[in-house]
Amino acid sequence: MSELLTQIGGWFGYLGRPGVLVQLGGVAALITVSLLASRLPTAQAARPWFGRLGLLALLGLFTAVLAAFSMPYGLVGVTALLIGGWFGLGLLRHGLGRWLPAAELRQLDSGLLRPLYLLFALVMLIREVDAPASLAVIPIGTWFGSTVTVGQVFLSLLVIVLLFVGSRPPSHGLAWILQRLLGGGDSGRRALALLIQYSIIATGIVWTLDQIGFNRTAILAVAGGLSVGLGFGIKEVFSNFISGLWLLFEGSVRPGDILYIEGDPCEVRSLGLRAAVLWRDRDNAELVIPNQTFFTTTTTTYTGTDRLRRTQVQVGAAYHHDPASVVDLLEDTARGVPGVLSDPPPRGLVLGYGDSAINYELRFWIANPMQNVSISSAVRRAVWQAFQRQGIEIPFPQHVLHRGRSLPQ
Amino acid sequence: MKGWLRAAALALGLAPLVAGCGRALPPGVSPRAGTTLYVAIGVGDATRIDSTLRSALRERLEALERLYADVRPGVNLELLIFEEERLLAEMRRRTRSGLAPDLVLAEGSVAEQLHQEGLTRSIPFPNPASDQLSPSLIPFAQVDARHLFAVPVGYEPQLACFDRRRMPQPPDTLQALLEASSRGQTFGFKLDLGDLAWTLGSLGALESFTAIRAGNPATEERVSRIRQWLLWLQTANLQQRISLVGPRANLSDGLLDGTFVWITCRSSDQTHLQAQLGDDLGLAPLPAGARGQPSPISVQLMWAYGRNSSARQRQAAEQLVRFSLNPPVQRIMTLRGRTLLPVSREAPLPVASSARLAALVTAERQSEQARSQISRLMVLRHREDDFNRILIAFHYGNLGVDEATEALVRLLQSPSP
Repeated sequence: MSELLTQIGGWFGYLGRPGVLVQLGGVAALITVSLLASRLPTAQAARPWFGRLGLLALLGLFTAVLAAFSMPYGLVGVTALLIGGWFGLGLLRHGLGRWLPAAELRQLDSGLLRPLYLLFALVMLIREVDAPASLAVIPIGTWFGSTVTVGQVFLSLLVIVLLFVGSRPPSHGLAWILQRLLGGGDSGRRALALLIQYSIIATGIVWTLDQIGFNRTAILAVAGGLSVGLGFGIKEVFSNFISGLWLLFEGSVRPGDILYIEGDPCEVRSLGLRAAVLWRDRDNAELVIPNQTFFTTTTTTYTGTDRLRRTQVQVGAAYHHDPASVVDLLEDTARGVPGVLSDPPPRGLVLGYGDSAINYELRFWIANPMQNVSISSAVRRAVWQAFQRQGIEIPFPQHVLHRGRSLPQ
Repeated sequence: MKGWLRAAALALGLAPLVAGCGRALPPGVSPRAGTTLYVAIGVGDATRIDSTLRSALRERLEALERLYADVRPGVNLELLIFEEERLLAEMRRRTRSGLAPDLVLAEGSVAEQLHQEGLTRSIPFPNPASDQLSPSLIPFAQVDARHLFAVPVGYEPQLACFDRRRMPQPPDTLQALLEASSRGQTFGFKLDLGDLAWTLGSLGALESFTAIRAGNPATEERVSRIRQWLLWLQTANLQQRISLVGPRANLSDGLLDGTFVWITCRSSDQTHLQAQLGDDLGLAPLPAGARGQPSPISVQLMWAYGRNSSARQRQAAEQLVRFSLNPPVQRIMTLRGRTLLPVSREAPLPVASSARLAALVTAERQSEQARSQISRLMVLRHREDDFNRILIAFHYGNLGVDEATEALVRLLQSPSP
């Protein structure tokens, strides 16, 4: 590590060269001028790209002037390229915004595009002041019996970041192909995609460690020791991780499933290493529930074998209407409501004789459990309108009071 | 701090540095403490750049830095290693950026190319450093009568590297080499005129090459020697266990993976081979032939000056180069690295210190004996690819021995480029 620090410290020796200082000073001055100019009221009214193009033009002009005077200009050129690239990244983001949802674009931008560009810029700058090939072979320590170099660490981090961020699209693509070949539902495809993604990441990490040349026996020994630590220290995290994997294999909770959480239907959005993220329609809330919870509590799901849900609406009708015709009317009404499945057919039932009315229940099936409230509401509206048309009375609760006579004293 | 304030502070912070960096030091004044010199070294190919090579080169540079610190403290040497093929491109790019190394340690041909492209400075001749060199070296580094393109600092002789576990005694004649191959020993040569030049002396063809090149008539005797040289190469190639590989092939890897037991190598290959083979690596002079001693070409490593140095860096670099040619420093550097031999005329060759060093010195003496003749062929070094094309065509049977001989003679007779 000390060798690396010494090497990095050596880069500052270039600051003793007039040619380097003129370039750096010029670039700093132009950026300062550009930033100050962008704060002027007239500039703030103009489009932002106008100021950016202005800075690039100034840097280009400065490069040309240095070249004309046979002075070194490469650093200014590299700086202009990197700044131009950063602006270009903004344009790319803008373009992608037309095709990708905002959340995915944000994830792609902050998780992949920006880190990769910053990494690229870092390598470009290091390439200017040092020889990357010789810098990469500087040893920074011995881990698990292997000497690890700067290049290996850099490559490992790059591979791991790319694995975590970049493995998602190919794994979803492969899962989609497998779904087409083998059949299966959307939630199964999502679970498969997650499994493929984890497999890619796990294989990538093992490959990376292998490339570095870690001693496998030493890793196993350390992993054995760590497992004891895991048992005491971060057992909850580990337990949640294992629970997540188990749930995926078992298929009892998969992304896209609808679960009943505290009386509300919620859709499983993602099943992560530690927790599952569920979306609750009622208030558009996202619930983060540790995976372990699904192991220790009863879970009600509407998507275990199919996505159908049987739901019901209760209504009362006055005593003087024939229950048979009321039941027929209820069933006909339900059949005409969008979202109510015709098979299995809606079914009307007489539940009992109440104080004020005969109580009926209309049971029907819907295809999307998340639409239970809205479809039930539509059915209730349709029932009221049907009763209105047919002159069926929905009675108010009635109480008949009888005044008793008091006995003479 | 706001972004623009940071930028302004950076610009202002640099101002004091700008103020004092352009002034040259008065003569005789040493550079102040904290002068950093960037030293670029070109190595064979990218696969050679590993931790072992870096630490070996760094160790040698640090040893030079420590020695130099005794007389001029405060000069730090920063090592930059480049693949030799990329050295020119890197120097072009860095010179454009103002970040070119202050010193380049490279083979003479590379140093000359750097100078021809205007990437290194001309050095006035004579100068205090050149006064310490053997006079025979000067023509190899000269641009014209008053300038050098670089300053030679050491020799890297060509010799034989072999695996002592499988070959206890290396062949000292070409006949012994053929006999050893018939007994099952495997040998590797490069199909490259520079690498095969040693066989010209052993097989008596060197005089023919130099005489024809000098404009003397291509007599039957001279042409016959060249023909016999080619026939020997053909005979060797027909041996099952002697391989002539392409100019870009890596013989060292063949020695390490057991494909070869004996290869031709440079003294600088030791670092890579030693790391793998340890004491099993053997070094020996190249074998002599019935018609004479081998005529290997020793590579001259030279210091070339980059163009972007500040006045302090320039002065420190010149002083360091002069210091590196001091006889005691040359001797110490030879004994430490054991890959470079001294070029200083006053530096004694320490042959008794190890068998490997003795092999290096013998190889260098063989090279020195042939140097007067080889130097006459130096003008053809830009045509090495043309020579190699003829050798490769002959090797693969596209040219017969008479056609190849004729092509070589024609090339030797052609005017200098």
